[in-house]
Amino acid sequence: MKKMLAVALGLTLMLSAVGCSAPKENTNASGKTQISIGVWPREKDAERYAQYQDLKARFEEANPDVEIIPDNWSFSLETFLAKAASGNLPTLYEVYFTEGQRVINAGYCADLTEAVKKYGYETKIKDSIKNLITKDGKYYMVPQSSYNMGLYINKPLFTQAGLVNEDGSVKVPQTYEELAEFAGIIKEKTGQAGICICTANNTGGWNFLNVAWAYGTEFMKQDESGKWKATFDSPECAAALQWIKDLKWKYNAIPETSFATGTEQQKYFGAEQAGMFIGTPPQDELISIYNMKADDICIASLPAGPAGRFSQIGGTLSVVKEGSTPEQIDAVFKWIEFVSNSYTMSEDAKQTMENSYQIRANKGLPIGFYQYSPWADSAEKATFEKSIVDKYANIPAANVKEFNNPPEDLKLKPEEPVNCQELYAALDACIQEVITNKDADPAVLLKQAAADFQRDYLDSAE
Amino acid sequence: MLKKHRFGKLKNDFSAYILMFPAIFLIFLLIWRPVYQGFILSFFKLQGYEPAEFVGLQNYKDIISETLFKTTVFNTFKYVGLSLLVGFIPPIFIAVMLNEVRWCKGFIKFAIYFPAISPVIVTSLLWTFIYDPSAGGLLNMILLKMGLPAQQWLNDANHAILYIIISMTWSGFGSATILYLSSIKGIGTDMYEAAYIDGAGLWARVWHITIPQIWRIVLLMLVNNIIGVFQVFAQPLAMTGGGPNNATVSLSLLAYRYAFVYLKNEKALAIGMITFVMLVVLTVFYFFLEKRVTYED
Repeated sequence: MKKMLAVALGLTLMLSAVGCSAPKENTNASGKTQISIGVWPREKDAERYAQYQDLKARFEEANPDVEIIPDNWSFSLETFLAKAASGNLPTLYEVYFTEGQRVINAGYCADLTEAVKKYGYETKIKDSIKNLITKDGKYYMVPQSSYNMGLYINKPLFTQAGLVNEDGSVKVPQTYEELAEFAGIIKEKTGQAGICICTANNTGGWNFLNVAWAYGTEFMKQDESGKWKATFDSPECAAALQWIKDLKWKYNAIPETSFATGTEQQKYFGAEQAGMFIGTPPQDELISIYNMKADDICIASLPAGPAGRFSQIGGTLSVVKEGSTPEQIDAVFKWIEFVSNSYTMSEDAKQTMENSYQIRANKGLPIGFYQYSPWADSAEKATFEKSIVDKYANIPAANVKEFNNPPEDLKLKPEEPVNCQELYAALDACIQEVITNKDADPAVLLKQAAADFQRDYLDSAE
Repeated sequence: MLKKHRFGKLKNDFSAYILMFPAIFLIFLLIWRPVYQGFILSFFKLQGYEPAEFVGLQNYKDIISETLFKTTVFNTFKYVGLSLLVGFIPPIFIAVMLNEVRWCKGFIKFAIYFPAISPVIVTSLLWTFIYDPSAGGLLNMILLKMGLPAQQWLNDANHAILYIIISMTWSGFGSATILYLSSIKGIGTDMYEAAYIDGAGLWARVWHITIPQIWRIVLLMLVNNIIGVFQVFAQPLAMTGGGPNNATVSLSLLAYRYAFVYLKNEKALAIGMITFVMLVVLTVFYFFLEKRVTYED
């Protein structure tokens, strides 16, 4: 027994000894505060790399007590926890809106409340974003960039299907019913899918939120005790799922595959094999990979359903690595301001933003649509960015008129508050079932999915 | 006296232990340590990778009571069962045939082994194109040319695992064939010559000589095959993402989802440990068979 104990103790000690953690960098030999900045462009991306190297030089000149350390890592679920646990996250990194709360819960981000107040962000961040970046009243992230989802329209296919106005502009579906009819017409007239909807790898559920909200679905509710209750076992959500079922079985208007993600959407749309998709601007790949002409891309606001018109917002958030010193946090905020990721626009920030759009324009990447701003509408950044977009636009204004001037009834909404990925997985399964099984009953599927989602996830949600 | 003998033996084998040390150290570092730590951490609620609260068997209870877990276990056994039905016999059959072939043997061997040298993700994507349910999919193009209706292939929840197994068999049977072939080559030619003189035909030679001589390796490959397919992951991830409607989710894929999609590592570890225990049982059986085969040989 003693021997066994000794072996177990020895083994544990050895295992602990083998465990390792990376040394933390705070200051360099000359006492400068060091901050590593994630998503730094790689050298092969020559133009952007040069731009960032120039930013670094100018920033360090303006802030002689700070040293910037470039870091190429960008957020991915596959690498995040390993990076975080080994202490190798950059001081400043970015995460997607969808992951914000999970990163906060995982505890790998610094409390930014003081800096947020000091730099005046608290009153400038839109309320709709605040829920994503705070926990127990503390700020752990600040918004960096954002978007709202829109309806991508393939102009050549719409033209072939005769879905154009007298002035040559495309007819934009104003309701989901009309969208389904348009999709059917495209299939009938061109032989191509009317719309490519996401159906797999949780993107199906993610896309579906827009439709379901428009049909009046409420996915979950929090009661007074703080417990969450799944509420999408409802006639409204069933009607939204029926809409997808109709796209397949009534209009025969979606591609055959039941495993479509954003990549497939781009592929079908870029190859003129799908007339529409619900997507997030800017969709650079349509041009950089599928060689579409900017003239052929139209973007409109999402259609309305019986309960209104909704568009999901998303984007990226700036996060500071947990354990960073107050000096590092301050240096990070200075960098954020310098590179135009804040609400204010210094001359340096304006120059950075214009350079970024210049580089996009040189590459022929799509410009012309206004991005949703996470900052209060009065913020200087939104106004300045619109002027830069107009200056470098390569998509004709008529193609994005509907998106840039959304109908007044458009409501922008962030994704659901808890267990989003799990919800998307449950919805993916329902969507896949209704497009592969003609006899599937949306109401029955949702009843089961909601019950499973409640028991498996919401009952233990915090 | 015994101690002295043992020490002498250790002294004699010292250089062998030194040579083995790097490999053992790496196995310890990369396999034993993660398994041990995973086992310990599966009893905790984790914050990232850090244990936040000891919860005992709660993670295991949560996983086992989860709706998808039962489906996933069923799917995993379905993968194993279908792989035995579809993928186990062809390599034996082809190895026997290859042994009888006289012409172009080298080319045929290369052609059979070729799929095995392609990375699994490549073969999975290749088969995704083959199974494309549109009229442009390779199999559907052939069916349509023959006047037959196009099929849904991977969209068909009832048969999606079968189609994945067919793709896995295609990419994996080359290695198994070569193994069987080398085993067949080890059979003495005198037995075949004697059988030939006695008037035995091809079938009689195969049935009475080849099969009995290679059955031990067949048995080992059977267990090996079960263990391998039990851990199926990359193929459903690349070909169906676990769909349609979770019809192809395997235990490994579910663990992946928990770890890298839901960031719930404690649950991923619990699934990993459950799978590990199942595989340990099979591995013990494998070692038992291997020992017996080695002893009998």
